[in-house]
Amino acid sequence: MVAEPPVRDQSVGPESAAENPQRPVLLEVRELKKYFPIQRGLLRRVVGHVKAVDGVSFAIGEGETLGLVGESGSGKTTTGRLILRAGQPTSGQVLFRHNGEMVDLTSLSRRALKPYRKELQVIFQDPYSSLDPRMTVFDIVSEPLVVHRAARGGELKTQVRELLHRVGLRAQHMNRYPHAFSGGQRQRIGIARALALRPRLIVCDEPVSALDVSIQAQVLNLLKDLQKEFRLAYLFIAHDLSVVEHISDRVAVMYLGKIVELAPAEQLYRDPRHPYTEALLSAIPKSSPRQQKQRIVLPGDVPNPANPPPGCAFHTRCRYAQDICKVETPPLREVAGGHVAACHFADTLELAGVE
Amino acid sequence: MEVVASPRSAEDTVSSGALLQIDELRTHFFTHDGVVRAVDGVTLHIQPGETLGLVGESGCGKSVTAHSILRLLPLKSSRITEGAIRFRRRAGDQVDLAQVDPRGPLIRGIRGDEIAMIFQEPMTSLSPVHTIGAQLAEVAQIHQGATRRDAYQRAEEMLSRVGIANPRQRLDEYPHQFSGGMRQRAMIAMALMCNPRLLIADEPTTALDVTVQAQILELLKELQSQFGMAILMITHNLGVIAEMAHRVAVMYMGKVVEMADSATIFDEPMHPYTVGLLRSMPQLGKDVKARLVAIPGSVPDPFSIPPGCSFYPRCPAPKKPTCQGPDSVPLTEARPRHWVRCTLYQ
Repeated sequence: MVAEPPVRDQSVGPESAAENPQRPVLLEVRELKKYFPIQRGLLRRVVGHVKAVDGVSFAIGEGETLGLVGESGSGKTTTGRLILRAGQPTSGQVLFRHNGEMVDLTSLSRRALKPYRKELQVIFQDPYSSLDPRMTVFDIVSEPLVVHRAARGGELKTQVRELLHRVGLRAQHMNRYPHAFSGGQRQRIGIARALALRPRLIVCDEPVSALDVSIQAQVLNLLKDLQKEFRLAYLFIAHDLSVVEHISDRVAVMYLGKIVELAPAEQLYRDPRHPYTEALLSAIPKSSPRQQKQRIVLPGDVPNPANPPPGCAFHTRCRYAQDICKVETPPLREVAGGHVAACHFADTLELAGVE
Repeated sequence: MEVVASPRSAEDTVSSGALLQIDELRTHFFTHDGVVRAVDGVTLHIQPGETLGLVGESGCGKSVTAHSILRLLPLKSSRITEGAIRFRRRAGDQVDLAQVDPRGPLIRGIRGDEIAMIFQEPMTSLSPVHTIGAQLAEVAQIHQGATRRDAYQRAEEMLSRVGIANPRQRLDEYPHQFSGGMRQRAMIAMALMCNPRLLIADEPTTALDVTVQAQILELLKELQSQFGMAILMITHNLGVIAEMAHRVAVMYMGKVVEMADSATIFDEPMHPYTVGLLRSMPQLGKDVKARLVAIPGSVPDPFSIPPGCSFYPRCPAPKKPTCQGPDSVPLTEARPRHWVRCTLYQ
């Protein structure tokens, strides 16, 4: 739409994990579940469970970005929190590579977990509520270094200065408070803090959704640069599919606590195999008024996760649903190399992707 | 109180028969820390039945523009200091909404009747302690003097028009019993109770999931073709604009910096800010691995907007001496029906 020759960054494409299965696995999540009890009445009796995350499995390679998309209530944020051990999973494993071994983070005590905390960091959605208004930028960025006794005194100052410089902030401003910064700058402060301990995996929970488009592009570019420089892996949680496509090597789609499709980004967008992915892609507003678009409007809302429909949870809104979908839960199975989908008809349906 | 429109300066974007015409509107806020010129030169017009997209980043003054039209601004701290908001009423006469008493009967007769508004967060704009039916019926009772019975009848009809199943039963429910998408539908139903000539939609789908957003956008298009109302679609989402708008006005720091029909804005943008906005938007399936072209810097502090062109400090285009002021840059019709506020096209 804007006349400019497309510039392709050759260095990124061939590196993506899907094409390079040799990339060592950094994180592996196996059958992760988180059920929140629903309590009623005076005695807080448990009357049911919200299955926020219901058997999620995936792996992230070193230096790879896995996009995790889904609508509100699909369990993507809870998944991110469980990986960080910000919540205790009901069951399942979170395996993280440390000194060549895969360690299950869910079984570790708080104390035993501490060395791993350095390697897993998080960037939050809202740069307004995620920074303590009473701490200066220096306090915020240096806190992880102090807590982990990684640096002190002059060394600490130098490191903070370098971190701020790296994320594009001026070190002179490190004695200011968050309120003096714009949304994009605050998000950079959050990124500097996440980088402080040189992590290997960062869980990015909607890191650009609260930012304006022009600032969003700056932050996405920064995240990409940092990934190259530090060989970071990202679990990139977002609801904006065009942002996710832009940053991810592979993408997983969640619906009601389950992954319904996972594939290399390009494959998922061009050749979706789950009807929910197809509907999500078709729901994205077009990028130019001239673009012709065949829209699939899904009926109704996402069902209540406390009471998900039997069989395939998507059958109530799926336009291809058959009788089997109402009774039998389709397993997540491989439909092409590195491409899994949980649909009974993944092989036969002709679904529309992005041209 | 009513001011009859008179032909104005060359800046006028007059097209005869415009439903709403705003000329160099300035709405300022007077705070302890100084004056915030939230709206500082908005010129736009809307034809009957068309959708004008008003796009811009947070803090650019889009919502203040909408609130100025309906005179919903805080009386103590804000004032429309300049400009005109001429609205053509059903009867054919024109009023300058910038001049009316914000608490007077005239604007109260227009609000909700001839101009209706829907908001971003339906939960906070619906009353939690009244039933959906009561809230919808009230509109018809107030503006059309309908009886309670007729008003409920109309409310039920409107709920079904916006795609809510079992409307009769739903009338007696409260907003918390509705899902996010249904609340937005109920709010649209409320806005359309009196068949308004203009619907102001302020980020109507921002709080919704993509699949529900798609439902609501389709619904608005369908209702527009049935009811024929004009829509002022306020959003920061260029995709929503591409989807909905016939014409687009782009705002930056309180000013409309460019206005043209939708295809022109997307294919041949003229203002460097519009060009930057479009480039920084990741596009599905296109140049996926390329770096995004970001606009450098950030939006200036609202207390110290640079004189001249407010985009000047971030602008990549070759500079001219006039960019820095002291005079502000006028909005000019650089090509037929394509207005731009930039020294490159003066």
